[in-house]
Amino acid sequence: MANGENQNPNPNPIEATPGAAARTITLKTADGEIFEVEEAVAMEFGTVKSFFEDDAVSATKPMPLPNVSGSALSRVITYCRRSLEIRSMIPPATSEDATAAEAVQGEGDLEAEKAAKQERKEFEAEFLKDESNEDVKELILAANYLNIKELLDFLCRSVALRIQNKSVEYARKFFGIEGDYTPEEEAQIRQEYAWAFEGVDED
Amino acid sequence: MYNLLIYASGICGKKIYIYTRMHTRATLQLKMSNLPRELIVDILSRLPVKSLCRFKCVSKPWRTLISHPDFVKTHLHRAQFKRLILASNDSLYSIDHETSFENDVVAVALDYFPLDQNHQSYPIEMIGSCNGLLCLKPQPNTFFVFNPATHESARIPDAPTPYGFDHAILAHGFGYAPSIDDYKLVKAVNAPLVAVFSLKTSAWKLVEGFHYKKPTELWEGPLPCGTHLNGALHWVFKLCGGNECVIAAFDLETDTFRDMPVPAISVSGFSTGFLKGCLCLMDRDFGLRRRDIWVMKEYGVGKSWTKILVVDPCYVVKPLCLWKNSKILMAIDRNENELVLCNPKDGTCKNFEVVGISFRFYADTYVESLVSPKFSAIV
Repeated sequence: MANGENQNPNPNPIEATPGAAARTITLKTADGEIFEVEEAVAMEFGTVKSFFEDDAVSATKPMPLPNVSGSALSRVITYCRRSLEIRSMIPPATSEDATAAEAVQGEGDLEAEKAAKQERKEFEAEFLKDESNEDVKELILAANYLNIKELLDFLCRSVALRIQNKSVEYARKFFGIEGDYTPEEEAQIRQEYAWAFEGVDED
Repeated sequence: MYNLLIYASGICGKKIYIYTRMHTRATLQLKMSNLPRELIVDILSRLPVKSLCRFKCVSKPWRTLISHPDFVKTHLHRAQFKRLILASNDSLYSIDHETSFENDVVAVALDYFPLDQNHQSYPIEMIGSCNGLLCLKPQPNTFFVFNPATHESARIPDAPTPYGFDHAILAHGFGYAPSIDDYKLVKAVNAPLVAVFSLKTSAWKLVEGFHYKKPTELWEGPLPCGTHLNGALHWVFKLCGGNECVIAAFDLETDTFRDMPVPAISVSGFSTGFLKGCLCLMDRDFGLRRRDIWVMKEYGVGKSWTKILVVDPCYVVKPLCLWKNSKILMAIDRNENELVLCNPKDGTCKNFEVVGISFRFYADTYVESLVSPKFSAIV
């Protein structure tokens, strides 16, 4: 799937023509990769949105993302594109009053919501399936830096699921933490919470 | 350095990565960065209590973080893991909220509550459940606050006479006052004063304002436990010197009573419950073919009582919770060991026998939390 990979050195500046098809925004990662991303997708990134809302900024130069690598940005773009697609499956609520909208919401809308939920579930299950812990952490840092709430929420949720049945050593390794209990202290606290160690996954 | 990269790739017209030392170091640094604190807190706040108790062993800063009242609140706020708890003669049991109710419902005995097995010929009564804390009465005149998720428990000191004696008690309840962050146990007798125990002060006090009497002398079943909602406990009583039922709402912050109207006339009063964030009542009149469940959509507003379900069975039920956001789960107020699942769309009910419990049980729901029952704890 084309991710707006390497462009020639002068990517087309964003056209100001009204009604122009799929405006794009150019992003440049820490390792020098250039991405041309559809505006709708790029505006999912809180950081990008505020950057371009600042009038003084020209829309023609690529926006630098010094804290994000090319591989991470590529995954992030994939997620946001898919997420937008799924969200567009649900017809928007037109009424201001939430309760009125609920009353008016027909069978068709509920079906669409259900289908969207199912799609999202399947997509999210696949998305991180083969990612290593290191890759997931990198994605979290990218989502955090780019300020993408939905992706960050999904990633944190997924990490919690990954680690919830793991050992203390696994958690230390994952978060890069050194245990600082003395052997006696550690033995004591493990004894106090002995029940919490039952049924834990083998490392 | 970066400009050079782009220029080079531009000239060649294809993607070239010139792996300079700076490039690889930068990407390596990105990969090995540890997560900032607020993201760690976010992830931890989504974990079940068992994992969090185990992860207190990760490091001393983690233990401090997980035990900190702010984190406890953040974790509680997610209220992710809801459980059903049943109390029967011999033990406490839990039922997973993921139970599908397609087949039998299986209850798993909890073996870690400090019950004195020798005296266990009395049913364990459940007084209330708030924020993961349960108030239990395992034996006569004995009250405990218990967190089933963390396994911690604390015994409440005896109330002053006569509130310490079961036979004198008219009603009791356990609730939480968010504005003062305090949990309270309330006991009423046939007198204008009620006894209130505060976990924060770990002391009993007597407060005025109890001007009620039992709705009927023929009270069958366990003592009415107040339903906790909006920082107040609610029971249905009759006003002293009157014959009409009223809801007695005891505000746990101000320790004062306030009356609220009931939806209809009832000879025997109503059973109280909590459903979808609202106070809910069910008529206790015996011999009725249909039982209505009323929900007070707007708190305190009599006109907002709305009938939501017409139930077939003629026994009294206590609404427990919404099951999978559509059906209503209820416990039966009699000598049954069954749960009832009702479909509010058509009022039909289905009974489920709970496997693993042989006696009648009390049922309640609780949310897994890290809240500690130990009072006089240093906050």
